[in-house]
Amino acid sequence: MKTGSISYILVLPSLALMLFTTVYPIIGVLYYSLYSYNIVTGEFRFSGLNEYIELLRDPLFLTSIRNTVMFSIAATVLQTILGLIIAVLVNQRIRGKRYIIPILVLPNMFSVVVVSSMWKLMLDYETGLINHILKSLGFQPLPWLTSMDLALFSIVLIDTWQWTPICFLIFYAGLQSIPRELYEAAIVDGASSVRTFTSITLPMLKPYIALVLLLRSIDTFRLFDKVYLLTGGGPANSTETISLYIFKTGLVFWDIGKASAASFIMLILILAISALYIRRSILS
Amino acid sequence: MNVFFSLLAYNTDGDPMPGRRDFIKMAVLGVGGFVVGVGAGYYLGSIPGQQQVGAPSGYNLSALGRDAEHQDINTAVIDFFSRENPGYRVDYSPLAYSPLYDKTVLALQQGSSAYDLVYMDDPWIPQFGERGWLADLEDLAKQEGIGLDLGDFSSVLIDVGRHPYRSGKLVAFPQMGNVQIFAYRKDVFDRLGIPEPKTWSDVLNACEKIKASQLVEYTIAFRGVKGNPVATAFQPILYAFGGKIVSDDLRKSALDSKAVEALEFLLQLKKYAPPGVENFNTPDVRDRMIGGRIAMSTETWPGWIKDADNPAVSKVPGLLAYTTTPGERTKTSPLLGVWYWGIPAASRNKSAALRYILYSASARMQKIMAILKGLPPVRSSVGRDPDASALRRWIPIQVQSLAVAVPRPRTPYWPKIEDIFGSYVNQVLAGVVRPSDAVAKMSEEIDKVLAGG
Amino acid sequence: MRILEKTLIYIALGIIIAWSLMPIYWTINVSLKTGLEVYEVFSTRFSIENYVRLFREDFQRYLISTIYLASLTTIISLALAIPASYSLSKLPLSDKLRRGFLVWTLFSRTMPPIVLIIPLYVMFSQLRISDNLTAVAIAYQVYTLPFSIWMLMGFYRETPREVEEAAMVDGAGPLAIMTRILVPMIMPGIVVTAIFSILMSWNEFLYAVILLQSLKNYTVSLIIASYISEWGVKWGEMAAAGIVSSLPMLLFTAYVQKYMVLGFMRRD
Repeated sequence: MKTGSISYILVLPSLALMLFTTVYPIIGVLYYSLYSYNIVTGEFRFSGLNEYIELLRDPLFLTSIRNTVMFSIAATVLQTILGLIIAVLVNQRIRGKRYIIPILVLPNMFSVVVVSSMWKLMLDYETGLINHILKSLGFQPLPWLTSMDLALFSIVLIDTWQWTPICFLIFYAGLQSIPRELYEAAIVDGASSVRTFTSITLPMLKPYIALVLLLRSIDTFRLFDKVYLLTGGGPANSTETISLYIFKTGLVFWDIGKASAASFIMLILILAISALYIRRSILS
Repeated sequence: MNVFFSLLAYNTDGDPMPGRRDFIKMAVLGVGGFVVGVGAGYYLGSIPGQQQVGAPSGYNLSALGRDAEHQDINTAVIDFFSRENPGYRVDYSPLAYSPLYDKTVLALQQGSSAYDLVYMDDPWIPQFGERGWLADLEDLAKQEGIGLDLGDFSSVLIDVGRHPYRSGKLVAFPQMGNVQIFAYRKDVFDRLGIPEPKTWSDVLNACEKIKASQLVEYTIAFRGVKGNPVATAFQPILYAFGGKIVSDDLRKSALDSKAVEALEFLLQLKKYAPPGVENFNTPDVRDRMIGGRIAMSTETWPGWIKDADNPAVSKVPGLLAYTTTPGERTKTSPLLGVWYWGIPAASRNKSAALRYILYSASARMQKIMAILKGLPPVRSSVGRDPDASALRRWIPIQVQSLAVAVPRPRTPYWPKIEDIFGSYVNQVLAGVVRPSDAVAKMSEEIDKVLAGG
Repeated sequence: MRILEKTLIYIALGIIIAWSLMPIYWTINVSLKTGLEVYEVFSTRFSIENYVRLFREDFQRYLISTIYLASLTTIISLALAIPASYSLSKLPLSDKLRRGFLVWTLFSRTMPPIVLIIPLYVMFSQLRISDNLTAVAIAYQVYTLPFSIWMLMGFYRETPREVEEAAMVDGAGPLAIMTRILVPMIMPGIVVTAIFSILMSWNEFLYAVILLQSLKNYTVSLIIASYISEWGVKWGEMAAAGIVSSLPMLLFTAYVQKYMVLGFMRRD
């Protein structure tokens, strides 16, 4: 009996904090989303599904969803493919792996604010390194962060620089776990390297590929820091993401009701994506 | 918080757990870091959270203010103040623009008595005044038997400090006279025989001539990035063409064909601006002006040309001339961006706070700060002072501009309206939307906001 | 063929390495130069002026705030997670509760931070604890606590049963077993978990920018972000601050890189 209650006591503080920091906010978001609540004007009245309707009619919100999805797909696919390629390259019989791998992983060791500032140094139109190089080679400098067409792509680029190392590490571990015998058998059978890759390597890597795709999609969906710091959602709303939209609506314009409704919608969207991930992990 | 961590697990297959030694080393480092951090936190007295509730003695004031040059100026004033008024202490907390707004809103909304002085940008006054968060300064002065020397201020400054606008109680007192002026390269204008521009048409004509002469890299530049920057850069033009954003009763949008004309004029100006102007913000315009790469801008703020005559940082010392913002069909309408001091209604040190405000806005302090720190003064008398204008050449024009300045629409919904306005003007600049469509859409959205949406 | 292949591989890797290092190298370069010399790749005129200016402007105050925040967050997480993980992995508990915790740990990892912050912000301001590093440490528990619990559970599970059983035979109660036997055994794991909590708090930005306003409470992330302000980027300071703030964390991260293995793979 004593053992029984001790076990609950040990868990209690964590449970309490969990309820406070996770369950309460989710209920809070649902609750506030049904009200028209503005901190500065003091308005607080029940408005039912009004906030949601307004949200779905707001072109900026719809743009933010589109941008977020586009970014997520582009970044995830790019990072997965690059990670895979790099892992395959490093997995070859080459020297100096002990030094190469830490260097490759270096980009992921910096905080997102530092990464953003590093890339601002690279991509700034006037003073950035990349435009400086382009100019000295005789090309036209490009407005990386200030052009409607390039801005989102630049953010994809930065995110790729920061996160491909992780994809690489996962794939590399995956490659290491493929038993040598399979490759030896393939050599005996005289298979070409392309054939070996498609028939042995890729199938064995499938779970890793699935994992990377899943993890990166969930993570890129949240994009906030880089766009807040480097573009503010512009130019012409081309880098407005869902997180940024919620942030501005709730904490710059103080429209808590609308921001909560948007938060709830985002929650549903992310649950849809990660339901796979959660189910899979629970089953194991 | 990033999925980086989710990959974590110690590895069962092979990598041996690092030795005891390594861990002890890391643990010691870690614990050492904790102790240093926590100890230093206590030592610096900044164990955060403990908000100093204003001490009941009438001598300890707590102020929320801006950082950067405002901090420079305000802390200098506080320094003088405490030396000349022994027993008075003012605690100044510097914050950046948005955090200052957030924190002030929160403190005022909670009715907290933690702060006795709040530093406000003029568009905030309707919002705060509407909720009754600020103390009535004239009342307070009357109680204390102090006279407020309001005559030395341009009437618009005092009007803006009242809520409701012009007629209500005085809830804010002007401190820093930020207002738009028009700066241009006198040397270029003289070379080409162009007189000082008085209207926007003059500006356009000048652009044509200057571009042909190729004396500067680009004729003109202005802020185009969406939101407050382009909204502020464009409003003088809009008003000069007779346009308005919000109706006088602040109930509906007042954008009409004149706004369309003003937008088309802006697009004309764009032809003389550097490419990418629709993404320009303050540094892009300011640096070009100081760097001698443009001949003029649609707006100039005192803070931009503060060091224009300093050869160490500027490439155009002595070459800039200043005049009031051009008019067109109406007279000039430079935009007001003045910073005010206010006293929270919940403060427990109101009379001491008022004393500080009047000290800070006194002619003497304004003149000292204008000379020492480049403060744009709010008093007309200081604007005429020969010493100040000898050192800071723009002061006479700046103070004159205050007299004719136009405040942004005095509605509590202004932040949202400005956001909509700024978003569409930016899109017009970028060529994504046509002026007529932009005006139509803007009107619709602004109407919705003003209706309480 | 072999040589051609190998050369191509080295070239490809070389490009990738250059790509990985370029921004880092450039930032170090900008931090050590002032003015236009920034572009002279081989100029040897270095100056630590940016770093000096950084500390003259009180950068150490932000470092200390961040250390405080990271420490507090980690202490809270560990204090709660060590007992909770013990209970969840070794002691009898209702299955539903165990399941619930598992779902919570997975769920919180996928949830976007912005979704939770608004009600927390409203509540903190109503409770008058806004602009307060301690409140931020509590907000950070949203992520560090479930993660710490999950990690520590794994470490607890690896401990051999015999040690516990021997202790129980000697009459030790569960608390004693935990504190005297198991915690020392999993100490390496605790350190690793602590490091991750520290890293997470140190690098975090969103919650910090929302919950903190006064400069005196600013973390390193916030102050670097402020250099990218509307008044013009302070390039030198930004670069220097980036390097200074990353150094401690680089050491930590390098250390725990060894643990970057697929946690999920071990379940298959």
